[in-house]
Amino acid sequence: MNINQSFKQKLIDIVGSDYVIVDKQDMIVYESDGTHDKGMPDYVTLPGSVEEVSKLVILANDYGIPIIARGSGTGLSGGAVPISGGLIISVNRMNKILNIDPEKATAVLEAGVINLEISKKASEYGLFYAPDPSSQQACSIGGNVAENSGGPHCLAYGVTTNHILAIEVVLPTGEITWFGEMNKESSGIDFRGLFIGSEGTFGICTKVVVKLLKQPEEVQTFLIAFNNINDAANATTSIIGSGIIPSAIEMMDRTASKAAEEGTNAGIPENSDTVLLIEIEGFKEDIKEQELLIKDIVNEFDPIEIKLAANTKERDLFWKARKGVLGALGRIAPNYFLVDGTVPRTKLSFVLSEVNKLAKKYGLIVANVLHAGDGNLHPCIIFDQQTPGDTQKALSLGGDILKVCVENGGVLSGEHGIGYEKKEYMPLLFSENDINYMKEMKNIFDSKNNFNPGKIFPEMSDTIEQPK
Amino acid sequence: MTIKSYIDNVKDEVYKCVHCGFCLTACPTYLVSGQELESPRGRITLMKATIESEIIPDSNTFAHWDRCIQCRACEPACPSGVNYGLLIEATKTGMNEVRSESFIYRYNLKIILNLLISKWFVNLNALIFRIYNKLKISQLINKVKLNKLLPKKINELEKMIPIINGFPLKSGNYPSDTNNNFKVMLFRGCVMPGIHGDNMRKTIYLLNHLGFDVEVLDNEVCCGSISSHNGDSDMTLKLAKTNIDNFLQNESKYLLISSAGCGTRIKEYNHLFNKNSSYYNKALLLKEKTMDIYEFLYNNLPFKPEGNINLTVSYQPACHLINTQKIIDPPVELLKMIPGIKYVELPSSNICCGAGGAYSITQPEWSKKVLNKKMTEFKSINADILTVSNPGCLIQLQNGIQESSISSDIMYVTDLLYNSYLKGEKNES
Repeated sequence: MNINQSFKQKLIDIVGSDYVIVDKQDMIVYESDGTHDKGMPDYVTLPGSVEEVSKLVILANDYGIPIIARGSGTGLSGGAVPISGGLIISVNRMNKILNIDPEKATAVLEAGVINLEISKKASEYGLFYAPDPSSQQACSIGGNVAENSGGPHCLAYGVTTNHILAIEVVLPTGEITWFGEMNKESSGIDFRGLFIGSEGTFGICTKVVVKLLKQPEEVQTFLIAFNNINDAANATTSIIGSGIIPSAIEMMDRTASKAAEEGTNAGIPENSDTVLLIEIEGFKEDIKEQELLIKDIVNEFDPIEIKLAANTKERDLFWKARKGVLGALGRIAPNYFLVDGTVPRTKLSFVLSEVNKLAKKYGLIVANVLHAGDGNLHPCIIFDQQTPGDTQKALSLGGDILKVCVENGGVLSGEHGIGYEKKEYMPLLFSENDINYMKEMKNIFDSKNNFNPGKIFPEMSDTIEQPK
Repeated sequence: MTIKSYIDNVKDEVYKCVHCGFCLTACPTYLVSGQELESPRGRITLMKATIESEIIPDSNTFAHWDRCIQCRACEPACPSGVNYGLLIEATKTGMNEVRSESFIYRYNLKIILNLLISKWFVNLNALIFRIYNKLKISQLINKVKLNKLLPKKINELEKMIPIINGFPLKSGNYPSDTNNNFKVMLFRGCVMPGIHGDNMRKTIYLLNHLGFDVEVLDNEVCCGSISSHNGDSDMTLKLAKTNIDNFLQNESKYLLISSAGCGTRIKEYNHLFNKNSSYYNKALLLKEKTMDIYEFLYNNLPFKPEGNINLTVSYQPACHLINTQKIIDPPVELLKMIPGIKYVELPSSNICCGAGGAYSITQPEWSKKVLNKKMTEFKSINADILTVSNPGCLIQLQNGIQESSISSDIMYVTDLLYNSYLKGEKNES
């Protein structure tokens, strides 16, 4: 029996034959995630328990086969793409909500639980889970932990790490352990915080204890159309400058909002250029007051139309337009390269005009979608992989945009992680020393570089032999 | 033509998919397996790989496409607006072409499809099943423990024998007592009139009670869903043309449909024809004239139901009603109009029950997995009645209710409306 056969048999012994995929033609569906990056895995498994995950990790260690953890595969930095082959451990079958404690306002979840399902279930107790990535209808909490995901409402509530009390992880040795505390913030060195956002390079997260929040008494959602992107950007700065912290301020430029409108009929006016989606939540009286204040501020920027969501249905529709906008770009071309750079809010207007200049220079369409409230840009470069040279052009444009972000005091990623796509840009922001410290940290967890190799670090040589 | 060329025909639609993954959790087979291969994104990736010659589809690939229930819940979930129905149908047609190279497959499929759409065959079966029901053979098998002796497959099939509600529905005119002169046609379809004759008659009496004259055409044929789901495009075309001609000739204002799958097929007849074909425009004319029964009732109700029904009622929408025809609120709103009813929402009601036309017969194992999940959710709400809007859902969920030994009833939304309008006790206030 060759290595391949015996390894395969041992995988089957652990998870059962229904949950092992080795057929090359079948594995093609595990080649990519939400990005255009591709890499063929050597094996795919879907374990049903943490014990099985641990056994798989020990087995892969024995054979020196790299491990790539995968949730729903909606990531936008190529994090779950097995760029140099290996074993995919997909946690989608581990998708039970194990417990919701309404008194403590916490939930215990398996890693494969879908983000939106948490709030759905918690709503029975008047609670919700705050981080809401745009892909929340499909993305898994395990993936959110790996990427330290954000979302529109993270403006007011903070990103994933602010909402995680504890995580159960399988370390690269196969050891199962917990980081963090069930009841309050952890004491001692915060391994929980260290692990969250490590993009699958420190181990696999298998269970998560999240904090839940009380649903607000009142929510109000604005859809505001502007004549140009500057007015929208300046209105954003003014609103936050006035002291109001909306739970979300989202921006879509002309290209993006057109595609979103086509997909949803959310009611974005025909002649609109840039759209802001603003949400405020809190006690009834406060909301009424803030609503008037926001209207006053916005009116200074000559809006085309200010729409207020009449009911939950309309609010959901506004959000559907915003959250589905990336997918909606498929109406323009089949591929996108999404840049996740984040800049100080006051620089938004300037950086956006630079982005548009660059797009013109490259002759590519860029749709701008922003978490404007926290300066998180999502310039989305639209291209067609089938057109020769376009992929390279899109990648170079993405790099140039990131350079502009960093030059203006920004960072490479707001919420999607570095993954595979942005690793070569790390030196723009970090010195060699910085990167070496990160590598040392990785070394403590995964000295053999067996977990998600080829991610985050630029030109890190993968020393592991691939099984042939 | 190879399967590749069939998928090539819908290439533009394939490339609209940006594999964002938003469709995953809308897909019933993904939800019960967690497997990318059993998801819309996975199936489209396989199509893309076929076009790009990265794979040569084999029986394994076919199996993943076959496991698609074609509920099309991925369509409303898709931000890019990929018309998945078009993709899977093209793929299925290509698969059928490949499989037809096998003589046995080709002729078996033809025979089965022809039988399924033939009225006498369906009625004959209905009669046999009716006798089977009446003689309580099923209980007898259990009593003498024959089920322990029969092979598992036969046992499973035996459990799927539907309960027959009355004699088959006959074609003809069913006038109301009024002089409204508002006439509608009611589509019979192939399976429903045989097994759910009583339910269809209730729909007709309900329409009559509300002042509408009803005609059931004798010369209508199967809508073509069964053949198009199984990739027989020649047969689908033939059936579509016959129906288009016959329905357009009739002077009735609308063609009403009480089976959501048929409704979608008929409303999408235009997909079958080239834009230059005369039938393309005729198909669009028929689309204008075609309405689902709930869409019609909701928009044309002359007066509200008054009979009390003091029960807890839930509703499982038909996939082809919500996902393709986008008829979401009308059945629920109609139910809520019935005095006394306590309406409870079924969790994840937008997910398919696993019926999917012939899916429960062609993919019994997967159909069962999907059904089991649905039944767990239904049990959690403790409803007296589960209402549905499509015959496939009724048969499947009736099966599920029996299997899980719960005492809830299952019926069409129209049955409950009929009960309230014609049988319910009016409030004396």
